[in-house]
Amino acid sequence: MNIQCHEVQDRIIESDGELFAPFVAHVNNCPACRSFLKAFDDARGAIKAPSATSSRAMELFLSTQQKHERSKRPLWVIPALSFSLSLMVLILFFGFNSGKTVTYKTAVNVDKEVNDNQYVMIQTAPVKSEEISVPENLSSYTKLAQFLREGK
Amino acid sequence: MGSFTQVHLENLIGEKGSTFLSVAVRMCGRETGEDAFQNACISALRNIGSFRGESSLSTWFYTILLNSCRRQMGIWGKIRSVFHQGEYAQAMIDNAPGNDIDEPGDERLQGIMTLIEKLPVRQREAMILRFSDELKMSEIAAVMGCSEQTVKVHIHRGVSALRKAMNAGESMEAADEYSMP
Repeated sequence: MNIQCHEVQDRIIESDGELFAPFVAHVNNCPACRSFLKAFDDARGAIKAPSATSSRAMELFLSTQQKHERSKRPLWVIPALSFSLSLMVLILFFGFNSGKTVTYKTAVNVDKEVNDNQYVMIQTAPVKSEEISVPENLSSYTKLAQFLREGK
Repeated sequence: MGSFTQVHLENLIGEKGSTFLSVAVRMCGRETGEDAFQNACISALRNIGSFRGESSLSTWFYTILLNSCRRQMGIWGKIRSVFHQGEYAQAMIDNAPGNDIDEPGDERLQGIMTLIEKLPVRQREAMILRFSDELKMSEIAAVMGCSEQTVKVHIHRGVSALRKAMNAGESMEAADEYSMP
């Protein structure tokens, strides 16, 4: 029976240590297959050498399981969180939007760039009256136009 | 097949936990291996309810463990490439897969593990899965997500590379002995 080296080596890889007699005879007579078998057994021995105990594995598993149990959220948490979040957004919106927005229709003579169809939106802000220095001799619309144009 | 619960997983770890942990340690060293094992446990605990029993529970856990090891090795591989010198590098060497064999006559086994560690990842994975738990080719193929023939090729190439390296090492040792007075 003529057996090729690759057949024997495939058989070595698949087997659990038992080889049929013809394969054993081939290995005994073939240095390449013999050294392959030796390397295979050496690798098996090195990898099978104990590197972890079952108690350590169980210890790691139990600690992981405890963490997993702690991290589990009850079913009511997600709706409660989303409700709280939307409530917070509403509070932020209405709480910080306390200033009034006033819309004035401007007259033609206020400024050449502003006509009847244009509106000026003025948002009131906590600015002291002395911070806005407007000359006394100007009319109110002219003051407004100047303030908008020049910022003073 | 009925639904699986955490009790099944606990029984599996009780039965084969040391083998799973050994595989992880062999793949990526002591500390990283333990992290990979814990990550695999977390993932398994989360997904045990969706396991339908299409493969054995052990094979399913091996698949999770292998993916976890690949992720860990990916992260650590990048860090190792950045911090390849100094104390960190020494710590990585101390935690290398072969450095935990404490049995008598373990130097040779450590040497072989060091050689195995240098093999390409897929070859190493196939060999570790084959030898740690004596998994069948079909099971290794299912875990690695490839064909049985591919697994055979990986193992064959790994063993051949190991044989060459060992032969080279032996010839170097023989040369050293010959040159000694």
